[in-house]
Amino acid sequence: MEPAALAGTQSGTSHASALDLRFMVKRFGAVTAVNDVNLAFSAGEVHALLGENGAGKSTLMNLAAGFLAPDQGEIWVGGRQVRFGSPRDALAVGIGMVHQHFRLVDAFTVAENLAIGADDVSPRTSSRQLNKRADLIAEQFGMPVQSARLVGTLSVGEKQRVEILRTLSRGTRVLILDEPTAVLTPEESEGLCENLRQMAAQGTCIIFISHKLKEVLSVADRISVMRKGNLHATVPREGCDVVSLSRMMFDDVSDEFASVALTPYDGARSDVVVVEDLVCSDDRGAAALRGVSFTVRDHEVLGVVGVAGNGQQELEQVITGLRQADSGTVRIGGEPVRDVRSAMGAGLAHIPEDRMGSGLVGSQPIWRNAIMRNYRTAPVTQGGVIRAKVARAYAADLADRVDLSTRDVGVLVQHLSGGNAQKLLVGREFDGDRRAVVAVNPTQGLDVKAATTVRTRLLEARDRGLAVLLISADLDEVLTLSDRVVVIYEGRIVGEFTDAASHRDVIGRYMGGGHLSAESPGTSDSDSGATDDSD
Amino acid sequence: MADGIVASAVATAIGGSTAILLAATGELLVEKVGVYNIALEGVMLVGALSGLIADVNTGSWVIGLLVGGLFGALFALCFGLITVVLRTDMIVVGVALIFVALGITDVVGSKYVGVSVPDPIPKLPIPGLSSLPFFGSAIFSQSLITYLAAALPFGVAFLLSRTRHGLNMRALGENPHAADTAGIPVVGWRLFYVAVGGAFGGIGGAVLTLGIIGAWITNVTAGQGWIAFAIVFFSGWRPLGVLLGAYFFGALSVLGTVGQVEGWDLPSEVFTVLPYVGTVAVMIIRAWSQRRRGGISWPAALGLPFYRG
Repeated sequence: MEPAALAGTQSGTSHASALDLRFMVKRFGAVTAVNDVNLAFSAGEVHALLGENGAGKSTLMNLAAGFLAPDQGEIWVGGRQVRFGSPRDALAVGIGMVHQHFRLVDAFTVAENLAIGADDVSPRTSSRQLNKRADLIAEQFGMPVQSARLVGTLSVGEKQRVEILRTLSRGTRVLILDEPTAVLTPEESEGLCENLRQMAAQGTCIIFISHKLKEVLSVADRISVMRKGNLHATVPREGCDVVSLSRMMFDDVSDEFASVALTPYDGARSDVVVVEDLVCSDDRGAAALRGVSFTVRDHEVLGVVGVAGNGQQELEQVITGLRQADSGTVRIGGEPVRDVRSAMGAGLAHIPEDRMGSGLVGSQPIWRNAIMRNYRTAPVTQGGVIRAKVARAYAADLADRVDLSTRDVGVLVQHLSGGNAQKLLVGREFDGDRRAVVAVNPTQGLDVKAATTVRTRLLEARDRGLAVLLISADLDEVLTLSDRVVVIYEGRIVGEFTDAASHRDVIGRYMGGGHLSAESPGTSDSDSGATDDSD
Repeated sequence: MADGIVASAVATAIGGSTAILLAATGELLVEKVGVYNIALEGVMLVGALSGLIADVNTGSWVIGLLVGGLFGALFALCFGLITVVLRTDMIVVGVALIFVALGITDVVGSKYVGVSVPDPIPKLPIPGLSSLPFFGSAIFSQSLITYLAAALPFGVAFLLSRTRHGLNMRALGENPHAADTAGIPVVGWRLFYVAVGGAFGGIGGAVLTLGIIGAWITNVTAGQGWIAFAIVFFSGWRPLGVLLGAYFFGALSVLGTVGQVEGWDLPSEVFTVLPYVGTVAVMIIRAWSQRRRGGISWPAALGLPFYRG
């Protein structure tokens, strides 16, 4: 209810920035996430904030939007210095942020979500009133939504529109978007970028956090590159290209996928993972898989792409034995998977999406995490007792082989960086007699170097003869690493592609349900897709 | 069965449910904003004793109820500060606070055991309605606070589903990050409603000592706070479900009296445990039916500590 804490004086300059960050510093413990950053944003521009994971982009913007308090620094808005105690204060001076993980109430309708915390809603409300208000907002900002729909039933792209509308409807003049396209299909991303350009044309300042170079080049007026908490450079888009930008982002320039490539395999292949007619429901009892069949052969990577929430999670869980299917079978090397033990016994390595939640135990040291697959057998265990010395020696050897940043196996896993944690997890899962791998978003949240290491390991596994099932939301990753690609949509495999890289556009359309418009992959136009792959 | 006995059983069931109804309605508000005050039993105990002491010293049941509500709110606020602000585990803290309340009220209350309440809550028969045949006198010869308690869930239902404030409250319980992003002070509102829920619980406790039982006994609540807590789950987080649940358990607890009068051949212990066994049974049935329908309707962020960012 109270106005944002306004402090300081009117600045003398006539061209006050929409948002001016000065000398911003934010530390988390010993880590300096944002180190003395000065950056000004103007009204009417799309300003991309580019950098690797952990470069400090999101932290800087969380400071600007009142979600975090800076340790040092000043925030100036429209020529006045402001101080934010909460996101509410930032909203009051027109700064709003759309986070990567949506902050919506799934159990509310679109209209109700738009009304949360809004002062212009009358104290006594009705759903009709709220729907009318939502329609007006949608019309005002040119982003259509279905006001009466429950947000939980919307697609990711629609949810994002609701988030953006909610932020805009609060009188936002500086709209910050944290990696907004990470969860969208290529088509949805294009639509969003178009919307952002329109908003900027109407005078809104758009700040667009991303690590996708091409996208940044297509949408931004100016580009600021952050590196390890520092602002490295701010440049106009004109004259920038992928190479020059990545040179700014990384110490050593390398194409993200340059060093990983499939080597053709000409030998005979036989089926290793055989999935037949899987039907399965999710935790809420709704149908998640509606008859999924495919095989993965040895020396092969099968990529499964799809927008998150189309059954990938259930597919992963059934294949690894974590979830019981309603009907259908999974066999690995001929042995049926009934539960986790039988899957592991059949030689399945599992790299889950949530590496700290289901892959590793953060509160336990490296050595305990390292033995999670072989703790039940000799030499680690004898007579029912885990021999710590043997286990530690094994873990130290594993740490050495996968090149962990530390050789001290007593370090708790939660203190490892994402890249090192993933190295440990992949190393553990691949160590031993394996026949198949299920990897889910294996490079999510990793920086380029760590991601390259993980991708290389997956391809090494394939070349050793393993059957690799790669379930990923990163389309470029799947296209680069896979021998074959299948698209999953609403619990069904809706398309299979052998020369996937040259069908990028079609695959993108299939991910969004485009197969429904009666077009077969073989006859599609795919020339743009072939060139689109050289990120 | 004699009509008189049934009517008086109905009267007792309704009146006797008042404490549980107040406490459960308050707890519903707390849970709607995403907190569960599992120390509700302790809150009621504190309200029961402080209300009685106030009545004894002032001779006014109104002041007794108000003081009971005040101390209930303060005690709940302790729970709120420890769990919402310091983000500790609600179950551990809640259970610990119940024992604190038991201990304190036992010590302080020992002086008041056997003291009669100078100004008990009076019955307020509604002219006309209370002389209706059959259940007229049973339903309409209650105390004022019983009528208010029965009206309360309707008010809460209106607040939650028809007002802007209620929408914001529900957002807090469903996704505090959504509320925070929209500028709602998450911690402040949660604390406020923990205190409001505590006030209702405290008044409920005072209704026990000043009305239903009419005296202080050690551990006078005897699990009523727990039943109120369970009723909120049973209700599916719906105010009218709370009303229904409270009367249902009120009915279970008077069955013993009816049974004795009617000469049912059952040991009295059976009737004593009935409300508690009933709680468990209803919760199991409820969990079952919810699973079958596939929708569990509790506030999605219930019991989760809030960290910004």
